[in-house]
Amino acid sequence: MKKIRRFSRWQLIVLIFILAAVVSGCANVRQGVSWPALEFVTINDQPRVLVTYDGQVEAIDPYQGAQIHVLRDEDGEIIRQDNGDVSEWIIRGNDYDGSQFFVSPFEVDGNFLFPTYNNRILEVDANTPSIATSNTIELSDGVIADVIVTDDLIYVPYRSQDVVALDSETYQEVWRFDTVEGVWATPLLADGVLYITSINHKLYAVDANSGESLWSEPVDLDGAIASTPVLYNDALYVGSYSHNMYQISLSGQIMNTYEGNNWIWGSPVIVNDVLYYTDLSGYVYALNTTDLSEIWAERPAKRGIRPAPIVTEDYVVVGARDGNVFWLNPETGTTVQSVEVDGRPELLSDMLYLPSDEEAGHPELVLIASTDNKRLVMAFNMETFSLQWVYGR
Amino acid sequence: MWDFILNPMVTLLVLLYQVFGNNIILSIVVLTVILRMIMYPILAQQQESAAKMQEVQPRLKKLQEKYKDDREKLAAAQMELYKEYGINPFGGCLPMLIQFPIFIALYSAINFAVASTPFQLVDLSERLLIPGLDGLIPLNSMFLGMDLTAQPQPPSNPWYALALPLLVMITTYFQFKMSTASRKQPEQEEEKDDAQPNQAAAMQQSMGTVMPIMFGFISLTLSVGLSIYFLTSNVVGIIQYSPIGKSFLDRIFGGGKKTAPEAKDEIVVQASKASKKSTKKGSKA
Repeated sequence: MKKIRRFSRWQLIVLIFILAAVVSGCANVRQGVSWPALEFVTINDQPRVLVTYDGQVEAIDPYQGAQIHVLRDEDGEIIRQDNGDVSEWIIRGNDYDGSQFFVSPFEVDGNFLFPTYNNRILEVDANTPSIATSNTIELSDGVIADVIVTDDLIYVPYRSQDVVALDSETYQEVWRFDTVEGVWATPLLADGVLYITSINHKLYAVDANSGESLWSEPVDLDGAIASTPVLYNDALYVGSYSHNMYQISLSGQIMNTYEGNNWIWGSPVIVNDVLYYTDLSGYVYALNTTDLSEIWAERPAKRGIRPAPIVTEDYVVVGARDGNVFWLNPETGTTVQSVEVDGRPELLSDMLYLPSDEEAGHPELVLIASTDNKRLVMAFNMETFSLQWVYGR
Repeated sequence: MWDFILNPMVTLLVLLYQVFGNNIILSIVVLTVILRMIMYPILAQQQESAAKMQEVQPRLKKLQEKYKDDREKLAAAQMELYKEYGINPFGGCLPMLIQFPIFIALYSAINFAVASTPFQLVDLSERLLIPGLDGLIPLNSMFLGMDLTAQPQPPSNPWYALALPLLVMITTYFQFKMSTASRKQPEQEEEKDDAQPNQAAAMQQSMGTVMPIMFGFISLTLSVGLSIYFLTSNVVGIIQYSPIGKSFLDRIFGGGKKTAPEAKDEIVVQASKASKKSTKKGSKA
């Protein structure tokens, strides 16, 4: 009697690979580098928002949420490419060796310069937008935090280690400051001093011209620092993964500390002597800037809040990892309104506030980006809390 | 739901990192060894169940031939046989089902702990259960010039990191050979008896070829940290399956192979009776 084999060798191989795929799925491994960045810019004298995320950058209309498909010159004529096609404002990283974008561009002589995760800066003509590949600036590392530009120097924070200052004309390295580990937040430039935070737990003060350290020792904040410090009334305010918000003197001494509940990733915001910040357990805090004493601490979100809050006269607005947007009372911290975004995507990006323009008939908006391409950017009306528009790829 | 296994595992890994002087390699190795040791009684039970199944194979085959036209009688006879030998028909796969989520959690824990990008690291904030461990983040992920968070191939890592997927392949092969060595003997003898292809043996042979390639390929595409995990797990597995390691561990865990009862041909008769009874009951209903 002949026996029948139930699985052939190839069937078995396929079965094992399916099992491996299931295992990888169960493991819930997070892939990806960072989250989208939003930047308000002017292109052809029109207000635009640049959405920088992963392998693509596009310009959208901030009041309609529509992608800018047709570009017009100063005379209103449609700009066409060499082959006659209508130009659209979009940059695809795949056209440039698979470049990935996670930070906003900076502007030099009317051109946008896009730092990439792939060790280069791409120079883009803001109006067309064509990339001048001859002007590509090679870097020694990737970039995941915004770059600072002055008349003379461009300060580039590197994701793995160091901050470098490049000459703004020749793009040659002028100096390099060793941060031991990565710099994941834009440094703060104030009065000729560059305040650099690093995920190696240290805050550095560096001479912006020479790159020399101004403090004998960097300030150790007991945890990784991934946010930009804020300078207010001759003191620096910054939080770290140690759960603490710190008030630090300009000579590098910790003056006051406030202990929260989880890692602090977003920068603090100071309005009317009150410091507002969020943490990754879903708390929002309001502290006195004088001594970091607590005014209120509320937990509107079930999951963490990564971005810095938007603070207006009426509200403190935060977007959370649970896919909700919250409007809090700035005096009490109570939740005035919350809106759940469809599909509850993680809201990790810093938000963009657009004040109302009564003449043009534009409402007051807050723009929020998610990591879900279908709901990449959403605009909420600050008066009605309603969703004004959604932009997806 | 998954978090209740994953979060303690991530916490334990970071705690070991602290204990071993910020050495992530050592903490991955130790945690893998600890978990494989904890899982050993389950593995031993699985092996014992597999061995007993091997023992009853000749008798099972006879039953299959005898009742080839009556599936109901065959099922009853099989159950009787299993009962006599004290075999739980699910004894082989149930331990595997228990082990599976734990090893997946360990795999995920390593992935979360050696996070290298903001997007990966933001998730770690909700997983550390012991206060004070946050100060260790981000973990030092460099070892012998290799970045544990990156794939073991240039340009992310030096060329010598490619040795890791190769070692994973080799150890996976040896672990598989060791795990099947004890069971192969009776099967081969059996094959000689009837000179027919044995499905289980064919599958085993395929697995023995495919598994090392698959794990080698997975190691090549995932981070170096996970290669360390696969490698450690395989080495511990080889020790556990080796006769010396097995007898040592059996002594520690109080296990050991229990001899099965002597075969009785009465089962066939008893099975027929049981089958008749059930048929009668069925007809009455």
